[in-house]
Amino acid sequence: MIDENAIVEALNGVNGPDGATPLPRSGAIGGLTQRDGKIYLSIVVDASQAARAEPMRIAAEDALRRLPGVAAAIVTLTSERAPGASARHAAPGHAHPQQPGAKTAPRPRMESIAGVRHIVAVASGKGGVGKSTTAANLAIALAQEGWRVGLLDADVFGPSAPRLFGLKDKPEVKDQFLIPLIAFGVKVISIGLLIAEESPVVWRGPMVMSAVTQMLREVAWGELDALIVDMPPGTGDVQLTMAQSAPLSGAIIVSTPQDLALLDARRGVAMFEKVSIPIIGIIENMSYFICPHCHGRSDIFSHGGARHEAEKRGVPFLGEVPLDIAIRETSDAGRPIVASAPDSPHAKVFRDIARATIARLDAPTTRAAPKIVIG
Amino acid sequence: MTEAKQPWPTRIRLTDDGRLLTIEFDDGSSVALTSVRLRVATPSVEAKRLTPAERQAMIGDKPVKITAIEPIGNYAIRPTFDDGHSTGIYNWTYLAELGRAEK
Repeated sequence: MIDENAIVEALNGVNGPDGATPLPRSGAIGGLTQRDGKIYLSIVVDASQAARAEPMRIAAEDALRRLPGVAAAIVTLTSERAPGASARHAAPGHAHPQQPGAKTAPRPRMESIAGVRHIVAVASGKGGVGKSTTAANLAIALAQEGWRVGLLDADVFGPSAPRLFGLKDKPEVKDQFLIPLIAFGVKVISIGLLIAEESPVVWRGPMVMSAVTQMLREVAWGELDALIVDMPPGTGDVQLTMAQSAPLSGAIIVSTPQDLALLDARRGVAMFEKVSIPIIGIIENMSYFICPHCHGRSDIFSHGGARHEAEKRGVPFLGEVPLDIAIRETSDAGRPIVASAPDSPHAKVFRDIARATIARLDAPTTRAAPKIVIG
Repeated sequence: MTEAKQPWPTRIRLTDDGRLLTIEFDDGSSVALTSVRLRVATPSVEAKRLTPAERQAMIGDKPVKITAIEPIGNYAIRPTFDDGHSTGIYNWTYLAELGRAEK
């Protein structure tokens, strides 16, 4: 092992990125490791200064190589620029005026959205469990309970809110803010409103983030009690980043009762727990099937699995939504069942879920982020 | 729920011209951490592989200050230090741990 003090001593002779402060005192050293007489040092520089920092890198390498016992020294420049900063440039139709060489804009801040009390993610471990239909009906049910509700369709891979809410118009832009469309008392924004329904969208991770950030921040949501975020299905990087970057009050997991779906739902719960986002509850969708002809009940996906899973994990169970042709038909026709048949038993299920959600969100146990006071 | 067992912060205060961060928890306790202490203890992956001694050597006792604090969801903060470091995300559990180690 080469003595650390000797390393620091050697690097003291090299000026840091500002050209004056000795490197060890400049705060630019990102990491130092050594193995078998080889020293690996990383220096953090601004991406725009990478070319200018090259002489410093070479000087640091030379200084380390001169140390007794050093077989090799590898110094690398790394950039600490926020990924968000570059992602914003990739945002379609969204250009920030920026002079070349000017100081890079600060990272997009993840503070709460002014006027929005609760942001609730509706997520599922896998696709095809009826997450978007549930999110739409839940949003309308919340609105019927007197809440001011918005729905952000963040499922950029398969935006379904336009169809579920029967929306066709493009949202207007006013003072650089998108004006959400209103259907059944819910303010709706979806990437599907901005692009044609049939056109396939190929999304890279950072593009998803910038699109979602835009839909969160650059929409005139106004005063809302709850903003329901219809998440893309799955528990991948996109979902995790989204969960971390939006100031969520909690998450609702939708699952079908069969074991395979529950396995994925469990991953969904685990993902949110990992980032300390409370689980508002689990909804069992396609819970059972009532035959429209004989009125006999079939538990197609073996009913009750989600309730059991919720109990096992100690998270609240919000309700069971039956597999019913009426829900499917009304959803596809753009008139979700809670709005088109508010007295139906299915609408009642969603209303109960909405009430349970309100109770959970307004309960004093809901953890709000602490106030940050400077000075 | 799992988080119910831990104290939850109610207020985070940056005072002393960015040199002192005080975190007040809902159980009435509070911890005060200096900016230097936080900088050396950064949970950033870039510094994770360093030993405490290496960190001390790298970061030293330079009087770094915190210039900005960004909330990360409702579970963590990301302070920006005046030496340019800003990739450490400190969650409540970690801050409470640092506070306990201080006592």
